[in-house]
Amino acid sequence: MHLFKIFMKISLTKISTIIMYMVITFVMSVVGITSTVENNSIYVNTRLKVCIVNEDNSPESYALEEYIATMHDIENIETNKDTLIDSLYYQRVNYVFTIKEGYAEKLERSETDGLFSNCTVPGVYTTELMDMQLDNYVKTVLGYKASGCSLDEAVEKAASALEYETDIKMNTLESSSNVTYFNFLAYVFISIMIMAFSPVFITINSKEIRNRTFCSPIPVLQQTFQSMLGLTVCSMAVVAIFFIAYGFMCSFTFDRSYWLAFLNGVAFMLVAAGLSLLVSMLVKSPNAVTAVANILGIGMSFLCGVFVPQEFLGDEVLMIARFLPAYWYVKANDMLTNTAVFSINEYLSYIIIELLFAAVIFILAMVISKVRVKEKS
Amino acid sequence: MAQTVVKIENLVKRYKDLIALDHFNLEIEQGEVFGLLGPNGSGKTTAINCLLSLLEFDKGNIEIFGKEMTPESYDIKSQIGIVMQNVAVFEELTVYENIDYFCGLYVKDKTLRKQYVEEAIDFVSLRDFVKFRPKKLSGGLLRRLNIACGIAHKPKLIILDEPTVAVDPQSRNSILEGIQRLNEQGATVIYTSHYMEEVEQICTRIAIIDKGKNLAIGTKDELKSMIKNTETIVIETAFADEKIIALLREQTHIYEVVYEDGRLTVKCSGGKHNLIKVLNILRENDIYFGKVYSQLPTLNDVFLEITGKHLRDSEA
Repeated sequence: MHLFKIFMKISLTKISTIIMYMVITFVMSVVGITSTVENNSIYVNTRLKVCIVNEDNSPESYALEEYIATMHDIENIETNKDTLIDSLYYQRVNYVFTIKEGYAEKLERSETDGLFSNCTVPGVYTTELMDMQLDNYVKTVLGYKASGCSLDEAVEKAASALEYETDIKMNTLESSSNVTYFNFLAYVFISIMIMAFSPVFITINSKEIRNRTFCSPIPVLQQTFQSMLGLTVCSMAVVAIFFIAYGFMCSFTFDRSYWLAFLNGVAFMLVAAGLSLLVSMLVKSPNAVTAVANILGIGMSFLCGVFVPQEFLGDEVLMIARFLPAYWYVKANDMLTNTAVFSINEYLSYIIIELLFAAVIFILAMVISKVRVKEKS
Repeated sequence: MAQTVVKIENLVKRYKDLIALDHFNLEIEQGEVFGLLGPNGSGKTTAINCLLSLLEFDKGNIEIFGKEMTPESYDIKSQIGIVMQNVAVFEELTVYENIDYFCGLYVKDKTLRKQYVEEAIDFVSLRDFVKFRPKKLSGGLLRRLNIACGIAHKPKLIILDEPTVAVDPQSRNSILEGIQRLNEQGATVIYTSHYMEEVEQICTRIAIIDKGKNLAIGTKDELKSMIKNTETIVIETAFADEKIIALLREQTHIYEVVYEDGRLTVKCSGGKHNLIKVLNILRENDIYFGKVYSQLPTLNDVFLEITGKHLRDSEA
């Protein structure tokens, strides 16, 4: 395993590239996860500052006042016109709401017109919320009344029915940050593999070294096998580093999604490893490798939805992206966030597509290598 | 009778329309330092590459150590050491690691390998540079490292393809001395070069190659005896007229007389005391002269006479 050892030894000289990308990834991931958590906390209803002018003064109107008080902050201010307008102007209140005289009687007759009047700052959309809530309340009361309840009972039941509040939580709270991290790995894997390992192959396959090694008693097949083994070990080490690091960031909660993402990561790493070999066949100078890595890494990432979610990409872009392996990697990762549409068969089919891409890239690299050797002979 | 180490028969190698080797024949015996001398593009490296199975050839047969050489002849390959024309080392590894890597392709035993690597380092005098990476080495040191990588595993046959190209005179001498020492230790050496002085200095037998053909083979004396010229006399003189030139040409062993830029060049073929005879003629005719040189034929003269061109001219 002499060639394998030398592959590892030369690869170790590229460790700085790997570390650099690790740092970039972790910083971006930590920032991403932190911002995701902040932005995706539990939804809280907006509380408006409401001033209520009760002209009806009936038990039903007081019940409504109580209901509104559970959702909004009631401001007690003088109810003369100038004070109310000033309060709205200086935003001491957001919504001035009048329960008109005859409110209870109209409810009794199941009438909904002219129950309230309001005064708001024009163009403030949050006041729509209040309108919706009042509308909802009245409809609920009338609904109970229509079902045979008296008005008192209907008011009571409506209040208790509406007090149930549903906690709205983004169902992708944790997984969206996971996916940001996992999707970003597509760019990281391509960049690391090309920048770190293409130069290793360029060195090992340089005419002088290759001829020199060919003159040795080690069979060519064994030479190829040892190089490929070196590439595989290094690739898997990189995958392991990034998935273990993710484990550290997420307190080692290795659920099913984690292992599926890991499987997807391994499949995509094979694609990236193949690309590193292919690039080494096509690029002569190690200096040109950085440019190629950037073009491939950034280009594929933008086209396939690594940096920008696939939902935001145009149909034409997605059509082109289908011919790139990163598209299927991202698609598989995105599936993990939405348990409603998750299908293991579909998920595995995406991974198989990635593996097919990897196989094609490896075969292409081998063919180019054979043709080159033949040409030189 | 010495064993034949390398036998090349009727080797033909074509690069499309160009014939790089044209029915090339060669036989090298054990213990020889065999020189392949020829200008750039004469086919030396092509012959070596065919010998090592790095190139496929169109016709012919190659045997090394009495066995046919093919890309799969791993038992033969294990006994060959190769020092390529272009330096083949890893920039990422140190001097020690490079030698260890190339030695390790042949020697699996770690202890033995370590011993061989140490010996190779001492052999090329790179002890002070073992931790250096190739980038830090001068051209001469780099060439020495290249040699160490090729010979560390103690091969029976060492092929050195122009190992002294772009090397300073001091390093060149060191390399040439090293090759002679390897030969003394029992290795058969094939040495290709277009520097005739080097080939003359170290090779026991020489083949002169041009346009893919083997023009002459023999020891340096045998090669020199193949040509007409045995001595070239150069005399610096301010005056030499047609009369004196004609007089010199009449002499038995003188076959060419040229006067150019104040130098009278007289070429002799056989005979004894040619220099004294020429000087006497000049004195008798009141021709005053300054510096006088007498040169024995070189391989360049051999090459010139065989091909009609100088070795160095052909490089251009």
